[in-house]
Amino acid sequence: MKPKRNDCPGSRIKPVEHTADAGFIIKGRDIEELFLNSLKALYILIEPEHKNRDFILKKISLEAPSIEELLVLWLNELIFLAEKKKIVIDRTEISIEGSRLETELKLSEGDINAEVKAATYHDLSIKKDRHGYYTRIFFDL
Amino acid sequence: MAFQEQELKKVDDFTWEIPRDYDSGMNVPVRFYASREMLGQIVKEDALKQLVNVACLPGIVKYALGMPDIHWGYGFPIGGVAAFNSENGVISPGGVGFDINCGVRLAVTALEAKDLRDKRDDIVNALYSSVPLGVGSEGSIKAPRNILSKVLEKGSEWAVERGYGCAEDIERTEEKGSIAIADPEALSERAYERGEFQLGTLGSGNHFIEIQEVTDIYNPGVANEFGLFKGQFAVMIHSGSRGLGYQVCDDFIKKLALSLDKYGISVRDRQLVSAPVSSPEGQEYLSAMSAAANYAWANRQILMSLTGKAIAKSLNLGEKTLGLRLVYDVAHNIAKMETHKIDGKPVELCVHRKGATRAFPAGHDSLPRIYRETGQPVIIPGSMGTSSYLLAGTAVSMEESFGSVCHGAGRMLSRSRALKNIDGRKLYESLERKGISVRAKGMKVLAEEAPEAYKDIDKVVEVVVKAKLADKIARLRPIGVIKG
Repeated sequence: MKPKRNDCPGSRIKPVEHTADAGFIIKGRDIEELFLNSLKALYILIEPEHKNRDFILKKISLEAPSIEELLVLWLNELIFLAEKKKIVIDRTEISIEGSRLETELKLSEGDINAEVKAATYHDLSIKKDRHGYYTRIFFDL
Repeated sequence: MAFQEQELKKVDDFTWEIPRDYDSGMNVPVRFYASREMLGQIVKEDALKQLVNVACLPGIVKYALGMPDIHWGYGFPIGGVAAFNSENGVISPGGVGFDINCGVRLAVTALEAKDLRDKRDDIVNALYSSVPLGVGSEGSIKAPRNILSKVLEKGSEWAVERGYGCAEDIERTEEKGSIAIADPEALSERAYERGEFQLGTLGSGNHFIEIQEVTDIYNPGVANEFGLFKGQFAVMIHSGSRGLGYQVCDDFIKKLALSLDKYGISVRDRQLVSAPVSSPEGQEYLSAMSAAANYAWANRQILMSLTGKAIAKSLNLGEKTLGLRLVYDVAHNIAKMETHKIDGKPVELCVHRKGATRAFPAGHDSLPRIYRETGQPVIIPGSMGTSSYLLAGTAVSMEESFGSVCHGAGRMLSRSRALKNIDGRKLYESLERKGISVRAKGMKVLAEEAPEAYKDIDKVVEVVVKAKLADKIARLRPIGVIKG
């Protein structure tokens, strides 16, 4: 899972200009795809690199009071894994029920090349239209 | 929501106001400091909208304030100051930011820069190899929970007790490097985990260690009191509370979001989640944030010690001969309980400074004895490759801006725009030609932090001085810089 900065699959991850930090408009045909594309957006910023191919599987459950808070919780969990645990994701599938997320991550040791302090709640709102879900999220760099 | 210049009320040549009746939710007007030339840049982005949102928070006093380096942040703008009444006002993690007590310290040496120009490469090489830096960098100091709780409680003092600096450094640090209400127990296990190996690490992004020359003295008397002379070799360090601070902010945004309904607080941006300062939730955040601030002061204290050792070794000098001595250390992302006069009466306020620097005047009883007559040293770093300033706080800043000024030049270009417009390698070569040695983890960070991405520091400081918020004392030119 290592998209390049200009790799915007199906225009579902579009960078937004932000003076101090970084933002993206993110779309998904369903809520799970929105979350997975948010992960890809984060990885565009932190540029992870696998150190080896010794993959492990790790199950994670997350729950939050709202779907927006779940998105921030998910991204900040991934930032913690990458920055502190030096673990980067190769592949993941997730399922979301209400504002609870279950996932099994395929991980390996890895490094990141740029720091993201956190995903923020700034002007965060997940919306739905006939194409699926979309949101705008900003990361503190 | 871009503003139109005609929507702004001109107070004087450097002060602008968005009146309270601009938006029915505003509890106070917005005021910001800028020259007319800067207005175009400021009004075209969302920073002023963010100040309007801040002006809507409960218990805000006088004004939501913007400094001349103001720019779009998240929740609060960067370069924002807001004070809330301790009885009916709020405290907001978004008013401090993730990098709690990100700040700057300036230290001077007994040496003259002219004698070291041909050794600048040796110095930055030594710093680059001695100071842990970069993304998620970890240092050699291991601080498991029992040790870390002492760091969180004692801040700079903890570092000095372990040989990183001297007692004099504590006097020369805002809050003496430790806020007493810090409560190590208010931090999560994850915050402890993130802080265990990051003491004495610089980090990445806009954090730096810069070696400098004092090029201009504007006020010889005060400069002398601050220990500066023209031509002096100096060091500036910019870092914060690292992953521990980010975790505290994240933890408390989540916690305080749960109590919004309980206290009937509505916010226009979820990043502005708040709790009454006097509430258990507000007090818990204040004590956790203060503990993270103490961690940051310990971090910069250790970084200064590592810096002194590395420079002395590179010059084949003893540390005594180098004579590295702290001028002052200031926080520029913090919330603190302070007493300010409102309508002539002293009132206890929770002052949030996000990308803003405290600038207390002469005579203030928070200042150490050595600076009681001069006013507080205020350190304003320029962008990479440009000058930095040392200012002194004034009585006007106390009256107008809760004793606050700007924190730097202020970003103007997004990082993505900077990467498109600026070639990191060419920038590196250009800085070298100007006599500035640069060591960084990569060319990308150089492009992102290029001077063109920031406002002109000279113009930003000029606004601060013309608005009489601080006096110019000295200017420092970079000779070398390391970045993570």
